[in-house]
Amino acid sequence: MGNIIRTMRIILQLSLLFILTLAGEAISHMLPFDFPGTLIAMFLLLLLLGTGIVKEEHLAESASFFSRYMALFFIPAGVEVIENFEALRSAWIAVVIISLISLFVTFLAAAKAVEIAERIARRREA
Amino acid sequence: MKEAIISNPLFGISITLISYAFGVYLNRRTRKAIFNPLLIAEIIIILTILIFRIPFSAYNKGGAFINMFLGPVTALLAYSIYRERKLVISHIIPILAGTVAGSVASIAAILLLSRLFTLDAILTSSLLPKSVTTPIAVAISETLGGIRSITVTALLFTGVAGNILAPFMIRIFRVRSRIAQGVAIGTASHVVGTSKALELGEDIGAISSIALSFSGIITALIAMFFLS
Repeated sequence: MGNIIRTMRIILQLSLLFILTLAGEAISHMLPFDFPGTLIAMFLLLLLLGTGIVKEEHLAESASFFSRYMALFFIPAGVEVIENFEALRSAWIAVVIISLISLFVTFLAAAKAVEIAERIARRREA
Repeated sequence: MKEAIISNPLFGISITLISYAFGVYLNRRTRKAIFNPLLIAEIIIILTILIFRIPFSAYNKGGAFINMFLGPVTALLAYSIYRERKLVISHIIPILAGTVAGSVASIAAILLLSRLFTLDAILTSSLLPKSVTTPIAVAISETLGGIRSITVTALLFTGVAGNILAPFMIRIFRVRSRIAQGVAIGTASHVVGTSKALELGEDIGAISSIALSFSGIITALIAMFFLS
């Protein structure tokens, strides 16, 4: 009996997530500018959680599954790269160099901005 | 017979599941960032369909089914932000400062370098969101007219590099604050980097996962207002 209830809970959680995704896509379609529907779905869920309409434990099972095996769902989008080997053939060195340099630049900018913000906050407290 | 197998969507689904399971197994056995489960699965599948001359469209009959879950996976990022809401609220100013600075720096660096290497507009758009978490990056790339598979490839490379290089970058940039370390790792190298942040400390990992959601949202906003 316990198993049936658990299965039902997971089915309901998945349905909620699917409906939110569809709602996000619908809203994105109506917006006058381009904003990803999946992110709107995320804001909707944040709103539902924040207002207490959806409780944290309502999503526990699917959240732990999806966050643990998240990478699985990105595989097909990555495999698609074989359709673009032509475009990458001449550019792959540039792509690697750009990725590496921007990694360092992003890391440095983020770290130093946090440290500056913390220093200002500390000075204000003092 | 080959036709009968590859024309069934279950082919794409099962090869994806099996390759991923193997990747997870190898990663747990070796505990090396370079054996990233996603990376291993990609390589196995690409080699298989190249060797057996399977068209991508055949693989993607099943692939599209798995890809469909990207939306729900993104929506669930809200769950992790909500669960860490106390940490978010108590450090909101440093987190915002770091993720905004990091996202702007990432976009500026990629725009500048792409011009330097004379990459075309499609390739540049594909690279722009490569520091943020995959579901958001794919959405931004598609909105900007990029090629999402190139985005995923560059993003994977960045994540693995970030994972391996994080301790080195913390050292050479002399990042002492643990909050700064977490924000920088999450902003620069998304989920793959965050797994290293978790090894450095649970607090750093939590901050890193908040930072990756924030920088994803901020990058999407910048892309919407300034780039599209």
